[in-house]
Amino acid sequence: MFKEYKKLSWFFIWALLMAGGMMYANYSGYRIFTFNSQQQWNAGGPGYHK
Amino acid sequence: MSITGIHTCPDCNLPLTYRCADTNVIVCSHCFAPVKKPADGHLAQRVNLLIAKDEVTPIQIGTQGEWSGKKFEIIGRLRCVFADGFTNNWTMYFDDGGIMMLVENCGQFAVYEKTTLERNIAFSRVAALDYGSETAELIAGKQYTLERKTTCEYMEVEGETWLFDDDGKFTRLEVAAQRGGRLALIENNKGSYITFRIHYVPFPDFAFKNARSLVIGTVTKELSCSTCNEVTRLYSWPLANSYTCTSCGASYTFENGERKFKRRIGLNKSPAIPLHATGVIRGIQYQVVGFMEKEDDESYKWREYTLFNPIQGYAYLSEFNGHWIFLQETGHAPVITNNKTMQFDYDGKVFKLYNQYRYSVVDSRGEFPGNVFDNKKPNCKEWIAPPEIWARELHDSGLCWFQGKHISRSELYAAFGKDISLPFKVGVGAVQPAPGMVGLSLLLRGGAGILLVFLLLFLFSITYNREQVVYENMFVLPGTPEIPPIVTPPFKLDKWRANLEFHISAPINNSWFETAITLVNADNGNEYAVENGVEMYSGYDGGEYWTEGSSSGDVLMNAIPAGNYFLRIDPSKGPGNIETFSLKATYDVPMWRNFFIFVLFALLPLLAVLVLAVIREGRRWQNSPFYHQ
Repeated sequence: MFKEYKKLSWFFIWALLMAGGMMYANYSGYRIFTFNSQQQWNAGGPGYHK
Repeated sequence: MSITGIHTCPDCNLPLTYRCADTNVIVCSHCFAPVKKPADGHLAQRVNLLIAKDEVTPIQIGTQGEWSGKKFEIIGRLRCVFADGFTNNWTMYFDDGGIMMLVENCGQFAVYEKTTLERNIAFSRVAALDYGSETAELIAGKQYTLERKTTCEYMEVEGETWLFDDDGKFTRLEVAAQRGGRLALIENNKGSYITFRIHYVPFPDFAFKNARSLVIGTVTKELSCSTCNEVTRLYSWPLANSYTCTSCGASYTFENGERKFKRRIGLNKSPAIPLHATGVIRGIQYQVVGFMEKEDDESYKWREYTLFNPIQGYAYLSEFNGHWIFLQETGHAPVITNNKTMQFDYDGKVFKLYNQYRYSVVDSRGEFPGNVFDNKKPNCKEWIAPPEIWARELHDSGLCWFQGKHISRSELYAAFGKDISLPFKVGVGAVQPAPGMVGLSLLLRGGAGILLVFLLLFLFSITYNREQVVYENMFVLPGTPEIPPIVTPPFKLDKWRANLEFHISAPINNSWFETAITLVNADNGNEYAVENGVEMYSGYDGGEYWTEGSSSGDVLMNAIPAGNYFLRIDPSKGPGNIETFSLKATYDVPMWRNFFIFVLFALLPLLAVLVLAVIREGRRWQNSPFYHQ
C-alpha cells in the first residue's frame, strides 16, 4: 500500500525539514518573514572591554 | 495417476497403455505409430498424423505443474502448425483425472478450459467480424470482438493427447470481451466448433518441475544463404519465422516449414547493441537475435531489437530519438471494441492514444518471429500512460498486443555492458518519465497528507502557547501636541524565548495615532523596539459613506528571551481630539502565519513538479497527431 509513496520520499524528507522549522519557530516565538522593523539594542554595545 | 486401459498397437501389436480416459490419441512407445482410440474404447486404429520432434520448448512429457490450485502432469501434445508459426497444445492431466490444454505460443502460455456457450451463434458469423471493432453477443450481456483468426495447416502429435480435430486442419478464432475474458473457438467440423475459455498465465506461476532445461545462446538451426552461401546461425528457430543473411541482406521467411526468399534488404544501419549480445533485462536473460529499422509513411524511422529467451520467448527493445522502450507481446491485453477508441482504462491507468502509423522494414539483420518481410504494412496504434505503453498491430491474422515500458540507458548499459554505444537522447520520448515523476493522484494524496500532518503538528504546538496578558492599560492623553513618554511597571517573561504581541487601540476619526514601544530588559539593559500606528478616515462621496483604515492594530515582537522587562511607550497623534488610547501586551501567542508560510514552502516542490510535468507533457504530445482534453 505504501510502496507507491516511496516515489515521494524526497518530498517527505523536505516536508519533514519544513515541519521541524515550523515547530522550532513556534517554540521560540519567531515569526518568519516579519518586516515590521523590530530593532534591538544590546546594552554592551558593539565594542568590547579588555 | 492410474493406468486406465491397455490396447494393442495396430502396427506392431505391442501393448499401448493409456493413462487418461479423456484422451483419444497416443503415440506407440514401441513403433512410434500415432494411434487413435475409438469411441467404444476397444479397438485402436492408426491415424495419419506426424510425430512432433522439436525440443525447443521448456515443456516436455512428464513436466509437472500447478494451475488454479490443482496439480497436473504433461502427458502429450498436439503441435499445431499455422501459416506463420505454430503452437504447442500440451495435454495437462490433472490429479482428479480431468484434462485441459496448455497452449504454448512463442513464450506465452495459456490454459484452455473447455466451456459451452449459452448462445448458439454460427462460427462463420464470428469469423466474419472485423478485428477489434465489430462485436457479437456470445454470452448474455457480453459483447465479444474478434482478435485473431488462424488456420491450422497440419498437426503433429507426441505422447497421449486429445485430438479435437480429426484431419488436423481447423480454423481457430480468439475473441475477447471487456470484463468477459477471452474465448477460443475451434471449428472441428463444418459448422460446429468447440469453445475454450482462455486463461493466460505467466510461465513462473505454473511452478513447473521436470521442465526441459534450455540454454540461451544455443544454435538451433544453420542455414546457407541461397545468394551468397554464407551460413546463418539461428538461435530462436523454430519460433523464428523470418531472417536476414547478415552477409548479403537476403531475407527469407518460413512458410509451412519451407524457407522462401522474399527480398534483399539494406544492411546500412549498425545496431547500437551488437547482434547476439546477451544481457539481463528486468530479471530475465535475453540474447539479441534480430535488429531492424522500420519506417512509417511519413518517413520517421526507428529501430527495434528482437530479444530472445528460450523459455520466455521474444521481447523487443524499441529506440526512437535515443529513447528506449522494452516491449513484450502478450495475450493478456486490453479489449477494444471500437476502432475510434481514444483512451481506455487498464490496470487502474488511463492509456491515451498517442500514435497511429503503418510501417515497413527498411533495414534488418538476424531473425524475427512472424513474417516481417511481406511489405503488408500493418496498421499500428499506440496508447500511452507514461512510462507504460500498449502497442497494437493489426495483421491479416488479427491483433497483436505489445505491453511496453520505458527503459533507461543506464539499465541497458547495466544489461549489455559499457562497451555498447547508445544514441543521444533528443526531445521527450513517448513514454519517457520525468525525474521523480508520479501520478497526479499520488501528488494530491501526498500533498493532502502533508497538509494534515502540518495542521496536527501546529495544533499540538499551540496547546503550549500561553497567550498570557502581561500588561494592559488605558492611557489618557494630554491636550498638548507633545506627549511625554510612558514607562510601565516591570513584568516577568519566563519562557526561554517567546513572542510578545501588542494590541493598540485609539478612538480616532479622520486622524491617526502612532506609538513607539520599547521593551527594556531590566536585568541587562537590552532593548527591543517596534512602532505601530493606526489611522482611520471616513466621509461621504457622491452621497455614499466610506471609511478607510482602522482604529486598532497589532504588532509583534519576535523571540524575546526570558527576563524582567518594562515598557517605554512614546505616543504621538494626529489632528483632532484623541483623548485616550489602550495597549495590551500578550505573551506567547500562536502564529497561524507561520503555519501557512511553512505549508506553502513544504508544498512548493509538489507545485514545481506539477508545472514541470505540464511542460514536459506538452513537449511529449508535440510528437503526437492526437489531442486529448
